Amino acid sequence: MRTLLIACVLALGCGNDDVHHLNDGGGDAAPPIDAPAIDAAPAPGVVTVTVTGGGVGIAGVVVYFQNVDSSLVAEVMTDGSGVASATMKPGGYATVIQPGEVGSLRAAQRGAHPLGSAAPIAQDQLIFTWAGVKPGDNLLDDLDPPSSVPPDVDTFDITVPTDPNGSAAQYFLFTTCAGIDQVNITPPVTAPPLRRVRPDAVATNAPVNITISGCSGSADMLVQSRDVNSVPLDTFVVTGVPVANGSDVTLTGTYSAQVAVPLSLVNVPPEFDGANGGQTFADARGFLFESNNVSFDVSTGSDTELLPVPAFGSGITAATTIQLDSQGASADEQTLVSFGPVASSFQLDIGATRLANWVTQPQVDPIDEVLGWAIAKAGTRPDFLMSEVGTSRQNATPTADSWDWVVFAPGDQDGAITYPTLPTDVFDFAFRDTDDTGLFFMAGARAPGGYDAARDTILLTTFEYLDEPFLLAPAAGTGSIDVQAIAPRVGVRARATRPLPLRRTWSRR
Amino acid sequence: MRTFLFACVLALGCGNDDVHHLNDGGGDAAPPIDAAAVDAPPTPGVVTVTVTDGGSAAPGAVVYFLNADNSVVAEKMTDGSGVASATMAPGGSVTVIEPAIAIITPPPPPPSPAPHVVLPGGGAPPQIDDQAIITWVGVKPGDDLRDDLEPVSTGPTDVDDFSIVVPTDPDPAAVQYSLFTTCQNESQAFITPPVTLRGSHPRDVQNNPPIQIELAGCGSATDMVVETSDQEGNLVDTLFVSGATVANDTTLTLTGTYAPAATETITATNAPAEIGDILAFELYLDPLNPLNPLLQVPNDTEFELSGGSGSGTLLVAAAGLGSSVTTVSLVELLSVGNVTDEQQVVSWGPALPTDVSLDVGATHLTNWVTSPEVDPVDGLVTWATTKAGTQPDYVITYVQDFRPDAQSGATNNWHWVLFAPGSEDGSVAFPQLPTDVFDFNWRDTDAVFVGGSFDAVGIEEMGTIGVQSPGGYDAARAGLFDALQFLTSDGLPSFALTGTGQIVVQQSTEGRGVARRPRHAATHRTAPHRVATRNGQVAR
Repeated sequence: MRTLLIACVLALGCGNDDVHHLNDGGGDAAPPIDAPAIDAAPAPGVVTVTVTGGGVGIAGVVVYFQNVDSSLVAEVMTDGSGVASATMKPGGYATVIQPGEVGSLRAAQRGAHPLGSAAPIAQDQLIFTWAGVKPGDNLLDDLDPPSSVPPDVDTFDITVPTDPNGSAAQYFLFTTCAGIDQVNITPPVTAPPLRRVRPDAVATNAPVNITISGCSGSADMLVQSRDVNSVPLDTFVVTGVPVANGSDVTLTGTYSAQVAVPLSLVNVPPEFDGANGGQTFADARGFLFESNNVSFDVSTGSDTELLPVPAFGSGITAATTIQLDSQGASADEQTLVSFGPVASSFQLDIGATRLANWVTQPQVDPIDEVLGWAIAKAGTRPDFLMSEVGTSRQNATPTADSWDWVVFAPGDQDGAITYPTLPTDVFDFAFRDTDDTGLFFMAGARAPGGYDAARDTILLTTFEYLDEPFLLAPAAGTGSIDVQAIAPRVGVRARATRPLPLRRTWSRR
Repeated sequence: MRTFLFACVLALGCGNDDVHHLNDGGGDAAPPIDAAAVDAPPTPGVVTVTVTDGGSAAPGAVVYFLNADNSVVAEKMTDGSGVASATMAPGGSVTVIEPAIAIITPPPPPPSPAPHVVLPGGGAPPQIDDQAIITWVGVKPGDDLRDDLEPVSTGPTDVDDFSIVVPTDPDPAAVQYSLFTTCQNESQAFITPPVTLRGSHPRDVQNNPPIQIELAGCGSATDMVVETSDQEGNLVDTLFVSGATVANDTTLTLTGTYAPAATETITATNAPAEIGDILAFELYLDPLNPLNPLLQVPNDTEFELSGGSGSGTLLVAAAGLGSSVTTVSLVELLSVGNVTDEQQVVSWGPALPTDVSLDVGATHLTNWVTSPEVDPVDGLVTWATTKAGTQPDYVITYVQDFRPDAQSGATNNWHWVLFAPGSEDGSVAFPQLPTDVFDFNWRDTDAVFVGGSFDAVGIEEMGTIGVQSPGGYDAARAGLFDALQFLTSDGLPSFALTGTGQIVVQQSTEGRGVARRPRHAATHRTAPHRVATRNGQVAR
């Protein structure tokens, strides 16, 4: 699952700024001779939104394409492939009224109530808005994307060498197969005694029958031994292991003790009063291993802690994740992911890396249609922002209209995300001061390629940014993914007339 | 007892813009001939702060006089009279570091050129605990700002234990009797006679049996109101007696005729959608004790608005309270949705009784639609406001700061009250203070937030307040510290209002003021009045 997702994320966004080949049939006409290129207006181009469910296009979904001043470029319904597009200038908005009670109702009313007519009642409606879109964008909206895990499920016996370390009592298998995290391959205590084929041969454990999925025919595998207290001891890695249903697998290799990688944090600003860190490892076949975490004492501005990890060879990318706890007025927590080849040590200059802290809680200004907060001056701005605001509006009935609005915005809106003023033919979703609104989440991220690279698939990867940004690290290369996120204060929405869901509002894959 | 102070709040400010007589000895020199008056910089003048503690001068308090750009005009210490002053251009700020750490007694001689603040502990960084800082922003020459650290109670202190006889209310609905007075301290008593063996009050007699009560601070003459109410506590009748004399170990017999309660209609119109409900009640002020309501009607009315309009009725004291009594109508505008403030319209006048009609749309202040938050980076408290409505004349905000001290492990904490002109509604800039006493300027590593208690002046909780009052900020500025308790109370326990007028107060619902509300418990007066009986027990 993770492998394909990452591949999808990293492959997108390339050439997004090059609108020529996507332009609306205009070809590559030379600019007028007297037109100073530097003053030329941004070239319009096609922005596409694709709404699918389980990978299947959903027709009849209302999509608004708006300029940055909220003037309407086009209101389009998705076609049979779930696609809606419009030619527009860069910088505007694309908004999907997600299929649901309103969306389906609107679609159902299409014949009887053309666009601009009746305003149905919203109940738990979802809205997705991409701000700062650019020609060439193909914004993907699939709340239930098809599983990226290959359907193969393989059951077989696996035999691994016995760790000569006398403390080894348990064995665990980690693979790049997308369908599993780890498998306990400790032979049952009733297993036959260890076999020795030759006096100098390596002892092996008894075979263990396992079932794994998502291997696509082969996998890289890591075997880890642990003591009776589950403390990791030794590991070895085998690459390119053929995996097939019913085909026994015998791994060979030499166990190596874990290595202690010094993780150093330097120049930690006083806004952070705690940190912890760990490493994950992946290769071209996918995500392979995740270490335990170590905690840092950053009270003096720097600290080094030793992180035990398997001794990896070449071809493996390590992603080091540092989570920073803020104190005082700083309201955000930050997760800094640095990825690159496996190294014997790691050092991160937090002051030079961290994002500018947020020093007030984001609040919805229903008058100016802005989600606003204050930011610190030190640190850099994120490339893009992700937010979700829930709104409840009392209507004439005993019930309340309610909707959740997810907005993705470029990093230059750090501190103030301006919501588009949507047309009201479906429903008047603009905030009112008589509504009850509340923030569900707010996050900022800096990632390779910035917002341009992330925009198309950002809806599919929002929760990876929020929860496990290391999963978005590529299997090769060097770089970083840095995320800041905020959880609203308890009671921030105490006045809401409907209870807050305790889960996020769209399903995880 | 801060009550007496508010008398001055609304009366001040007259002539505050006229700085000539207050100018720093400069006289009224004619302007230079070639000076274009329209472009002339604002004329500097003397701004004074008087710091008192329990009514006595508080010398040695550090006072910062800053220009609008935070440049230091002067750093002074209050002198033996508790006074510090500086000549400054209008628009700057004045900040008093209340003498928890900064007070030095006796005060040093006037420092030159800059004062040297002697810190406790031999110059070591002071530990700050519950330090109070008071700032006025947008001061003007001629201001004489007052900061009374702990006001002293004034007025008579006599305690009188006596019997009181009141006429029996002929209305059979009247089953409870309460006495309200203009006494300064113990001003009310529950005087319902004991139930007879037959289970009823004696109605066949002219007077109720004597009740022994204790009142304090009554002085030589006391105005009194006997209020009768029915079994549910609804007002039935009132009897007003002017100039009664209270003396220890005597019997006071009140005479007169009960006046029936009147029904007053409270009508609200043109209310914006942000206002969902109206809560109204009424009270009465007497000139013998103008800072403490003589009587508050026992009931209030709350009604829902429909289409911006609605009405409710209120049982009020009718004629008979005396021509000198001022009637005060309090209408609370209860907000809905994202609106984070609630507003109270306080109207007063001599008429009794008068239906109240309030054009809410024309009266209400611009609502607040986000909660005031501290931006420690830019030194701001910010919130979002609606566009409809009127901007308040001035805003007040209260911020608490907690800063861990890495060396000692203790946490320094202080609270900072700031008064600012209404032009800062939505974004109040705190001054950047000098750091010689302590670095009070916020840091993003501090835990800093709007709202908290201000125990020294009897405020359980206050946050951000906006006020529109007669004369605006200029009239109110000098006495605003004294008025804090009044402004943070939704029951208006203490104020003096004369003539006819109106104040609109808005408070953020987070950190909303919870000052004492002695005669208007919660929204309904459910708790019966107390009476101190002769044997010291408290009857209800």
